[in-house]
Amino acid sequence: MNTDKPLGAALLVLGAGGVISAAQISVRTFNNDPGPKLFPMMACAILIICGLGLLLRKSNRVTPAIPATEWRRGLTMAGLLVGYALGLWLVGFHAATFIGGFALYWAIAGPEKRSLMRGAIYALLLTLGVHLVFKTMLGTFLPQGFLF
Amino acid sequence: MLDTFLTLLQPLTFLIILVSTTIGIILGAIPGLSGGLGVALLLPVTFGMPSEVGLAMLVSIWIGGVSGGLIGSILLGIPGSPSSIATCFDGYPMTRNGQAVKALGAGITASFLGTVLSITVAMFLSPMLAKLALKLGPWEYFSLGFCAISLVAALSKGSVFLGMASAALGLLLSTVGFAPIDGYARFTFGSIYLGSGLDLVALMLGLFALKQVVADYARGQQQVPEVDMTDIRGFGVSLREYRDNAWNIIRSFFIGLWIGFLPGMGSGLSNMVAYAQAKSASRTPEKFGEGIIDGVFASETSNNASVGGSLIPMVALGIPGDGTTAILLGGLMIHGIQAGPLLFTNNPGIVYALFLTALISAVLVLLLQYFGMRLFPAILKIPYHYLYPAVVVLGFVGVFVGSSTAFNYLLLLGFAALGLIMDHCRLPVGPFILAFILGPMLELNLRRGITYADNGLELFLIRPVSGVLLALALLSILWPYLSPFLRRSRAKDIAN
Repeated sequence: MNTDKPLGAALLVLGAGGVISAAQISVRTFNNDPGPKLFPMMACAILIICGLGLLLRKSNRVTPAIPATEWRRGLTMAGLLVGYALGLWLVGFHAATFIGGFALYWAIAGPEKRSLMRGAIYALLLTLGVHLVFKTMLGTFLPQGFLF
Repeated sequence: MLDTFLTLLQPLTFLIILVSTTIGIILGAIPGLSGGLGVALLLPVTFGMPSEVGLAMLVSIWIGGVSGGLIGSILLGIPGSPSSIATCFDGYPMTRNGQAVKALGAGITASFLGTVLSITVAMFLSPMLAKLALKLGPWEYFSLGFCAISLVAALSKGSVFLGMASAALGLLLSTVGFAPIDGYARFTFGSIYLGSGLDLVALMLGLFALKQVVADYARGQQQVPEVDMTDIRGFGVSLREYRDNAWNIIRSFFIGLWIGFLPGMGSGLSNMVAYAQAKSASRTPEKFGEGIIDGVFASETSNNASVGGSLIPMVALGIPGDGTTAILLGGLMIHGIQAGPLLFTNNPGIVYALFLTALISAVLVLLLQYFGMRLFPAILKIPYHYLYPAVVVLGFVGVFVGSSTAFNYLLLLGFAALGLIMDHCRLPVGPFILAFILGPMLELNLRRGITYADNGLELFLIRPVSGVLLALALLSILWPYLSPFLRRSRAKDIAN
C-alpha cells in the first residue's frame, strides 16, 4: 500500500481544520502584534503545502501491509498499556504496578518462557525497586490512585 | 583559582562531587529523568552547605546527567533527555548491529571532549562572548530556530515533504496551551491540563519507549542483540575512526557551543543540528540512521559542548541558557550570589568553583563511564520479558513525577500511537521533536520581532544574520529539487 496519498490527504484535512480553528481566535492586540493565531496558521499552511505535495507527486513506494498477527499482538500490548494506565489512575502505583508488571511479563515472555512464580517475584521486585528509587531516594510522589 | 581548586579537592568535597556525578549519570540514563531534575530535587540540600560546595554538587549532577543520557539512547534506543535524542538515531542501530561498546566508547569520549573544551572556552571567553549574544535580537533567534528545523527536516530520510510535514506537526502541537505574550488558551478544549501545553517527557517517552515496546511485541521481536566484546581495547574506537571524525567533532563542538550560549536554546537543539550537519557533510549520508559512528560523535560532542555554552550567558549576564542553568542561577541567588557582569569582580571564587567543578566532574564521568562501559551492555543481556515491563513502568512513572497528574498517561499513550503511525507513514521523528521543542521560542520571537519595530516583518529579511539564516533554510528545503538541475547542467558543461 502507498501511504503517501492517504497521508497527504490527512495532512490537508488537518491543516485546513487547523486554519479554520485558528482563524476563530479573537483577541485584542497592540503594537502590530499579529496575535496568537499567526503561528498555528503558519504551521497549518506548511501542513497543507506538504499534504498537497504528497498528493500530487509521483510515488511508487509501497509500504507492506501489516499482517493480521501483528495487528493482534499490537492491539494486545496496547490493551495492556491502557489497562496499566487505568490501574495507576484507579488503584495507584503499588497495586497497578504489581499486577501490570506481571501481566506485561506474562504476555512478553510467551508460553515457552513464562512461569507464575518467576513472574510474581519479578513484579514484586519491580514495584519495590521503583518505589525505592523514586519515593524513598528521590522523595517524589508516586500515583496514589483515584479510589484510595 | 588554585585556592578554589584545592578546596574542591578536599576529601569531603571531592566525595560529594563524585557521588553527585554518579547520581547524575544514573538520572540521565533513566528515561523520564534527567540531570536537570536531579539539580532541582537536590537544590534544597545545598542550603546548609558553603556556597562553593553546594554549587559543586549541583554542577556535578548536571554534568553527569547530560553525559548519562547516552547510555539509554545507545543501549535501549530511549533517550534519557532531549539532549541525547539524536544519539538514538545511530547509537541504537549500532547496538542492534552488535557494536554497543564501540557506540558507548565514541559517545563517552565525545561527551568528554565536548564538556572539557566548552568549559575551557567558557572560562576564558565568557565576558566577550556574552556581549555578542546581547547583539542578537528576536529576528535572529527566530531565523536560527527556523533554519535548524529546516535543516533537520530537509536531511531526514524520505522526501522533504515528509520532513517538513513532520516539523509542521511538531510546530502545531507546540501551540497547544497558553500562547506567549497574551496567554490566550489555544486548542485546550477547556481542559486545565492542556493549559501549560503538551508534556515533553510524555512526548519523548511515548515516541521512543512505549512505541518501541508495542512495535517489538507486535513483530514478535524477542531477539536480544548480541554485543561483540571481543578484542576491545581502550574505548573500543580506533585511532583511524577518531581521525576520520576529527572535523565532525570540531564542527559539532562549535555548533553545540554556539547554540548553548544562546539563551533559551540548549543541548536539546544542538544535538539535532550537529547530527543533521554531520549527515549533510558526510560522503555516505545514506549510512546515517543505519548505525554509523559519525552520528554518535556529532550528537554527543554537541550536546556536551552546550554545557559550557549555556554557562557563558549565565555567568556573564545572569541569563540562563536553558532550564537547568535557570535552576543553577536560582541556587546562586539562594546563596546570596548575583550572577552577571560583576560576578567576576565580586565573587571570583564562585566563578572558578563553577568551571573547575565542571572540569573535575567531566574527568570523573569519563573514568566512571570508561570502567562502566563494559558493564552497561549487560542491560542488553536482560531478556525482553524482564526489560520491557520495567521500561513501561518507568515510562508511566516518569511522566507522572514531573507533573503529578494522571492526565499525562493519556498523553504518553497518545504519543506512542502517534509514533507508530509516523513510523508506518515514514514521517521522521527528528524534525517533529525539534519543532515541538523550539515551537514556543520561535513563536515568541516571531511576535516580538514583528512588534518591536514598524518594519518588524522586513527586519527578518534585511538584518544580515537573520537574512542569511532564512536563506539557508530556504536553500536546504529546495536543495533536493535544485541539485538534480545543477548536476545535469554540470554534466552538460563537461560533455561540451
